[in-house]
Amino acid sequence: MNRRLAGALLLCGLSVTAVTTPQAYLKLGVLTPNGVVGIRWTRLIQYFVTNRDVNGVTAPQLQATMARVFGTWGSVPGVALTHGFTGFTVSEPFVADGINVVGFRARPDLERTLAAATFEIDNRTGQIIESDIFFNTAFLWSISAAGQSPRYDLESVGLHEVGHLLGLGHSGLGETEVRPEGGRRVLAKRAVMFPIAYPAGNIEDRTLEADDRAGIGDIYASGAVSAGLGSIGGRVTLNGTGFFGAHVTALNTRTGELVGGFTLNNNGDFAIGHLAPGVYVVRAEPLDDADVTSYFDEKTTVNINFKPAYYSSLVAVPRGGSGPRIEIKVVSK
Amino acid sequence: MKALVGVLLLSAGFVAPAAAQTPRWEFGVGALLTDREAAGTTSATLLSPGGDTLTLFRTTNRVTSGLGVESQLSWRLRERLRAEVAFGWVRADLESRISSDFEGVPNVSLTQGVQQFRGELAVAYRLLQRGRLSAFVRGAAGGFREITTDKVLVGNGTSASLGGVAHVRVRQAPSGLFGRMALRLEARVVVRKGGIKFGDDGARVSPTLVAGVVIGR
Repeated sequence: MNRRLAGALLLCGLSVTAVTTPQAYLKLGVLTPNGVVGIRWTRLIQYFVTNRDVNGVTAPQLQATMARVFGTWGSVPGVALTHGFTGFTVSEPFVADGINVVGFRARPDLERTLAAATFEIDNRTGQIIESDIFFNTAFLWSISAAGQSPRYDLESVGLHEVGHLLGLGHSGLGETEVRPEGGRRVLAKRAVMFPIAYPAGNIEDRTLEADDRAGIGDIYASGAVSAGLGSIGGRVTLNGTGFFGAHVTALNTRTGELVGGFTLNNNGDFAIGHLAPGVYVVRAEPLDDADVTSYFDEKTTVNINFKPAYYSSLVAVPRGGSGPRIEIKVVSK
Repeated sequence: MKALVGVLLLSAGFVAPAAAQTPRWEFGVGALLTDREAAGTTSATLLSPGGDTLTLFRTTNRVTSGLGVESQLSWRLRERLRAEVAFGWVRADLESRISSDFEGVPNVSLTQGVQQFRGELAVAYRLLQRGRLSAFVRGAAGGFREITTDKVLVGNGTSASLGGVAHVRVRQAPSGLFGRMALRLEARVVVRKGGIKFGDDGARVSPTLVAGVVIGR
């Protein structure tokens, strides 16, 4: 089996301060001889928990929290996840030892990273072989049901990291502002997978949003639920030419749910899946922060020099399919 | 349009003379004009750490006024009471007016064409007959199917309506297929529920006009 530890590309963390972009879920992918394929688990996800207590959280409490977190992702309609806690271990996360480990580590050097996930992947198939999650003890943690400032909520951050473990990248569904001391502060967001956490004490991220559910459903959903949902596909063009990295957002006019995607090739093609049938408003916008590495490989060229724009008509999404491809025409800033 | 409904309903207050029976059967066809229907507002929002919302943009939704055709077949049940089955087709637009864009995109209206196929059963009671004029009050219930013009989405719903009908006789012959011909003008208020999932899911109310001709015997 051709394995590699995909560190730079597939180390995904949750930051207290980071970049900002608009809305969209994003699946993690790996380049294979047959092109880019999404990464996913194809077998039982068995995980260990590092047997070490930290300030405010014991190892059994961490294990119980992770069980809730896996249960939350597995409760998305149509999503079939098989997972199980294997036991406590002395192993540390972020060690390529062939087992999935969740635990705390002291990483004061990562002063803006609350937690992170890494993967080992079969780069021929995209199958995830191993994934670890660590929570940074440079921050204080809480398992309090109502949250406990100034501690970060372990369940909220854990839900984000397990989203990565399952194959999701960062969502852009959020807005931030620059902090005087550096980095950014979240103003508002609508996805657990947004790369910046709510402030300490907040527990809003214990609940998955439409963007999160669509993302995980796009990877794992099967059966009748998936067949009853639809998608929007098309391209974003600037002066008639497609480009990489535009955010495309779909608003369900009945429910107000936001789900999005990105243009992921130089033809400007995008696809937003796992949408409830209905009538949508579709909007394209740039990643309006120069740091795009929270979303894409640092070597990727992303066009951010265009104005946001709406698709010229409402878009109908059918049950179990997609409507005609659309073209969203944008203009330069 | 609302004023017309008022006139027709007020006409119900006249006492009808013991006039001749209404025709045994009638067939009519006419143009159908529907007024716009509000479909609520939808906001694309984010949640702030304090639980407030930040609006990315807002949509004000409605079904635009539509134009179509309708045909009716009615028959006499009692001296003044008629039953009617009606079928109609209307072309309108689903419309979302975008406003309050967080990044300053100018307001814009987005549309999606929709066809509505309507069918209903109705009863009409004649309230007035004076000279060439007959006036009825009409109530109906039925269903409809909406299909977007790109044929991607289909939705079914139910409807009910109440209104007034005026017939102005233009021809009265003792026999023949077109023995009796009249102009038909109708105003009704239609309440619809269901259809394509667009905007809020409450009932939609719109005044509707039908104008055409009827023949009967």
